[in-house]
Amino acid sequence: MVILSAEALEDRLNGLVKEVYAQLNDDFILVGIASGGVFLAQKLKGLLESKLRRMVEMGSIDITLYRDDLYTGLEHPVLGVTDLPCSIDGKKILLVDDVLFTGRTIRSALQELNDLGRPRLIRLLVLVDRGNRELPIHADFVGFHVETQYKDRIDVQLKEGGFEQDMVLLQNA
Amino acid sequence: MEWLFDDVHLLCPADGIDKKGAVWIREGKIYAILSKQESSELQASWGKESVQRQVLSFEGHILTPMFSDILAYVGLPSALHREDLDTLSAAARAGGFGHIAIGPHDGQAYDSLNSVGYMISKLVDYPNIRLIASLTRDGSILCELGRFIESGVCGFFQGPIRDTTVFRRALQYARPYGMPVIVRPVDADLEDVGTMHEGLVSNRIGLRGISTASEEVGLSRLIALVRDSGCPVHCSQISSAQGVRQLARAKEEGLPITGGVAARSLLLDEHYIEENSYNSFGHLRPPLRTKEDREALVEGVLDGTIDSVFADHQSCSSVEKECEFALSVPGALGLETAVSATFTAIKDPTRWVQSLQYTSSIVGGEQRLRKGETASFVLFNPKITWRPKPPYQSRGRNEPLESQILQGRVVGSFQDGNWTYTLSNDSVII
Amino acid sequence: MFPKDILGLRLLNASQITTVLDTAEHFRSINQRRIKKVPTLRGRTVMIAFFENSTRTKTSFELAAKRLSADVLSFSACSSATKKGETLMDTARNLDAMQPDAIIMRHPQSGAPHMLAQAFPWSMINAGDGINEHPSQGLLDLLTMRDHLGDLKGKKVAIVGDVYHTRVARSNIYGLRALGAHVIVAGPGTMCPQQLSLMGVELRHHIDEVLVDADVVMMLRIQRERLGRAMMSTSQEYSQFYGLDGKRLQKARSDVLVMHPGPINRGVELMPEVADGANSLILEQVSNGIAVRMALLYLTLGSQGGESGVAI
Repeated sequence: MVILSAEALEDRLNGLVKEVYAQLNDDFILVGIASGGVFLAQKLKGLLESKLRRMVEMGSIDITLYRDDLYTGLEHPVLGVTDLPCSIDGKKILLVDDVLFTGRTIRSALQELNDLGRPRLIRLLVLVDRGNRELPIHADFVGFHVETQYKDRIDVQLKEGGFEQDMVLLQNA
Repeated sequence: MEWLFDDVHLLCPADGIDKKGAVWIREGKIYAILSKQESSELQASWGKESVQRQVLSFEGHILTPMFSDILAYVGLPSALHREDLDTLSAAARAGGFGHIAIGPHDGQAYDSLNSVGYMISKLVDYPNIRLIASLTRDGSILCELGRFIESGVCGFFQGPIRDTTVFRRALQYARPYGMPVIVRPVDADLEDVGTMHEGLVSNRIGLRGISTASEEVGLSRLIALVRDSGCPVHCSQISSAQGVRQLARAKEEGLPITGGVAARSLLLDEHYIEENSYNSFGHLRPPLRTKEDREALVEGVLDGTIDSVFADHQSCSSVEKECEFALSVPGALGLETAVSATFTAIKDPTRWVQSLQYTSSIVGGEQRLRKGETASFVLFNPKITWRPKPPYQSRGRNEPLESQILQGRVVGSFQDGNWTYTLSNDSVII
Repeated sequence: MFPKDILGLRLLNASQITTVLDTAEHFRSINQRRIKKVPTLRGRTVMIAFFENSTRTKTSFELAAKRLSADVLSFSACSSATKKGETLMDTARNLDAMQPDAIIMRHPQSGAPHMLAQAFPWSMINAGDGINEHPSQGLLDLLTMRDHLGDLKGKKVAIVGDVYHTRVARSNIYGLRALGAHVIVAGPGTMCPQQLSLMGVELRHHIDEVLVDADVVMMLRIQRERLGRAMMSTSQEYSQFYGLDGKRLQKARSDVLVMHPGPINRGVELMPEVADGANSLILEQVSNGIAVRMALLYLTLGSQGGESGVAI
């Protein structure tokens, strides 16, 4: 079931860009969490660049090696790319993910960023906060709050990820 | 006590018997061989069965005189953890072997009057086991063959030997005694550098190889010495196609040389070691060779170039096998599987019986299926398929044929007028 | 599912080998970080059991396990019970009682790790068994070659020296053949016996014949301590016919890659001017070693299943 259309997403993302600018000014690095967060970061980068009229630095991190469930039966632990454009020491970081769920991914990402350097501050932006948190983690910028059951699936489809059209789907368990 | 073994396939190539029929046992002896018709008439005349008269129907089973094995190894006097005479004879009975001989091997040399005397005294309680003594001591001194014969040995064995002059003299020395001389033909230097057959698989899995040349050189030397000394020799085991060809040529020339093969070599080849992750059960001397060699060995048994199939039985302790392939003690069990393995490989019942009874002239048990003979025979069900697995009657469990499905199985041994073994879980036998 | 054990390249297919190399590439970037450590194997116990002397491979594995945050325990044969007559199986049962997650083993006998891998649940990583295989070295060689040549399909790789008795050579042959490379081996008849051609390699007996159009020349170490009786005449003669010096290298393509599993016998199979020359990848091989070994630990331990996956 489609719960968010392309138009709704576009509206909300423009709103988010304004919020981000109001809080962080423009000297931050966008860091997308592989893989969904990276596509969202790419979309934000475009929007931010047209608003700010300058390049926004962006990187990606893959948190596979920091997961806490590596040995619980995952079939193929395929590694993604961690690729930051510059040293993150003393920088502001806007961490981006598509869906915020248990909070474990964000925990892993924070730990990895910590290993990679010492940023001045880290803020978190997510497109969908679907609740069901298992760790004390919250996002600073949230696109949408969606109520879900634990076993539901939220599927964020973005053009950057190779889809025809931007949309968010909810699949009930 | 009388038995009628009814509806069996009687097989005794030595008497030219290969037919359906029945055997009537009375007072421990074969009283008569009956046709189907005669058997029905006898059963009718007996009327109801009694405790004194039993009719046992073994439809489809082969009934043949017991098999004999030339060279099994026992852990006496100093390696009892491997095997003792009780476990060895139990293994032999379960495998259908009525008479076997034990021989010197791997540190268990029977090369002094002491060791031979000790063994003979132990064997008093085991009338179906005979002793084969060493031909030389350490390949350098001639043994006291005459005194060993007085003690009761039934033949002499020579393993790998380096000194050709000692070997030649030993054959010259042995000839007048007229006792069987058994040799494993091999060039010890070529064999010692490796642990498995040198070829495709040894290259693939990185084990040092034993070239087929080790057998060819050993056999060439042996043939030359047999020609030179005139001493009849039985090669305990041939392992290669080239060996079969050499043996055939020597026989063609009229040399008094005969040959044997280990039953497992008719089913297994070098691939066993790769397929079973360097399983030390596949560590053997001579090594398992190629598929082509294996096929030539089967062919050799079928056409009679190879006279005898034997079990090459050597029980090893877990310490000797639970270690790295090259460090493990070579050897494998065989007595409990050899009859089935041979049947599976060569399929021809006549050659199967002949090759497994060939050594009875040496180790004893030359039974026939004739009126008046002692009732000793094996019942073999050719229809059973099975995979060997522990526990075994033998003390060890180093049986590489566990990797194989075998065709046919000994279901009972009837020796000197009594059951000495029946396959458990088989409702046919009461 | 990736196999539980890494016993040899004989037992890995092309896609598994590629997975290892791809994974190793990711780990290479971690080795360039300031904090060269990820928490991936936190709480996992990795035992390094070397029944044969080695410094480089052992250090490399130790570093790999530590960079993945595993608890590493290493012991060598001289400090173990094997000298007291315990069988390998007994030693393994004792190690097993300490609940390791992986054992990295080097052993002087071919097939020793295969035997243990079958009997125990933990991952077995073969760090060299007898004259059989040295899979982590083979994989790091493949990674090094791939860095320079891209796809190895159709590439010509010459392996020179004691191919039969060198475990690195056997691992390379399996890996290269799986990835579609053409392998030519050259060495004295005792070290490159004719049956080697059964492994799908081309057999030559003169180094000059194989140098001409090779993309890679891998020189093997002459392991005098391992050679049996009468394996070679003199090292001078070996050096003259199978050693690689600057002059001989000129017969090869100018961009030929020279590799050696180390440690080098300078002046026997490899002359200093080649070992330290522009074509030599020897130090690159060493640094790739850590990444490859991290990948092996990650993939084998990662494939040890537990309960079903948990949401993250």
